[in-house]
Amino acid sequence: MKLLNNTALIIAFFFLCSYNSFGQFDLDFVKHLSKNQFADEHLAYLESSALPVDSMAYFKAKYFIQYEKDSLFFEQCESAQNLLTTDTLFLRYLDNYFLKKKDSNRDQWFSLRNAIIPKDTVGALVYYSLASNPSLTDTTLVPVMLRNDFKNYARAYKKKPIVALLLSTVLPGLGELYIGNLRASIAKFGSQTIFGLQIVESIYFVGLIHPLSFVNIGFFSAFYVANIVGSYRDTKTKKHDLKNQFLFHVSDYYASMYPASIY
Amino acid sequence: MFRIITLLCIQLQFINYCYSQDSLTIQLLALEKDIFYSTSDTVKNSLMVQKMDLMMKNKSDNDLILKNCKRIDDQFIPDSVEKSRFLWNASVIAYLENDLYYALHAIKEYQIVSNDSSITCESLKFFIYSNYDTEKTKIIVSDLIKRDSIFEAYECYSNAQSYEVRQVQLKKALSYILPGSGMVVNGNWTKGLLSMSLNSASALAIYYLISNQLYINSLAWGSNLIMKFYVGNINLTEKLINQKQVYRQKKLAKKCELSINDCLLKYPINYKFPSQGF
Repeated sequence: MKLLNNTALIIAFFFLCSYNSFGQFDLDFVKHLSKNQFADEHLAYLESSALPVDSMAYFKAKYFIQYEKDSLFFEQCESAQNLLTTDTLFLRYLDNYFLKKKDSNRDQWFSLRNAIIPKDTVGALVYYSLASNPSLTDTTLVPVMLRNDFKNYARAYKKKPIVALLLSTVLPGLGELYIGNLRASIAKFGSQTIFGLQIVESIYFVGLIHPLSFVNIGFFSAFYVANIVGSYRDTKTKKHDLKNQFLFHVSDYYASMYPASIY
Repeated sequence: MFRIITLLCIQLQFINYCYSQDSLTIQLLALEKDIFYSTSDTVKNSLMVQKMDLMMKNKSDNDLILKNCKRIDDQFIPDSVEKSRFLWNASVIAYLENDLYYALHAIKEYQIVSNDSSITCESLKFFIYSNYDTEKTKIIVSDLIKRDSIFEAYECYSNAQSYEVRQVQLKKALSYILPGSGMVVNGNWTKGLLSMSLNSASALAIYYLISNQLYINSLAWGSNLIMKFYVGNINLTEKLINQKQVYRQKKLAKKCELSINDCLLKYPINYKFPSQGF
């Protein structure tokens, strides 16, 4: 009788344990929650499901990426590694997603991806590696649709900010011309020339010791220094922007060429 | 000893279960599961209405309630009372979320289904229409005033919404002819006089440069100063006219706020829940 009582108690305990969770995990239902963007219900369902650690991490990683919680996604990645490697569609989605993201998250994802599948020689990973040093690559290897962006980026990559700074010091606008900003170069050279002419004219007609000459010299100097600093900064910004533009288009290119999805 | 431990474990599990069942998300999830597994559209929509009610009762975010609301197809709600209740709530929530097109559609449907021409219903219609149809708003307000004079507050609100600053074109034209005068007429004395003096000083400076044969300087400074002060004065005048309009509208609306609150206290616009009835 005592044994029967104990058995009944154990059964009751396990019954309550199992009743607490929502029972069998249904992928279609998860897809439904994901499609309708029921974020709270989605997370509650995952947490109430009796899934193994790696599967739980895998589904949570998918959940966090859908709601763009990148840091939480990375927390789940370690446990979900094995499942991630087998899910090509999701891997592609992640590649496309992180190619458009800010630098730190993009770098974190691709270093992680490299660690998961080190022998992957196709796909976005190649272009990500390419973007870190475009001068080494033959442009004919890049797809035609991306070639123009790549060429622009490769050209900007070669430009050195310090050279732009020195050129702007020698002649205002020359630094901008060096990095390929023709309009900015003409504008800067033109405005600086006008300031110079104003100084010459004011010194000639009213003399050097005159408020007008001081004002003109002051404006000329301020613009001259601003041009130099601007050229240095523009070189860096252009390089960064063209890299992002190239990777953005790589992402679009892959999204249009190969199917990718979270589920 | 074994029995005590097992009983304690069961108790813990039971408490945990009870608490988890209390949480709103778990209840919403359970309803969503029922919706997903249901094969009948009628049952599906009825469950969605239940989910919406639950969210409204628990004061979930309005955007989430509206998202859920927009999934519901009222054609599959057979009970007319239930259907009109849903349409009313949909209209209120859409109005709160500023989805005026949906709010208007829902309130029109609601009136067809329920034949409701009560003061509360007309009051909600007033708030929806007041955002884009002045004529219709005026008709609703005059109808409401006939029924209860307390709704004169709505007329005041409606006037505030349609308030327009006078002599806009004249002020703009003045700012072109005599810089700063447009702002002075608009009531911005300090800014207007400052703009007037800056433009006069610029003109004087250019005159001085020309008279001293400093043509390059006059051209360069002239184009810079004119761009800065003359064009700036025109833009600022337009901006200040718009600011005045918004300010006056808000001031007038604020005046009516207390009286509107009295109207809403007397005829509150609330969600309709199943137990309330009509």
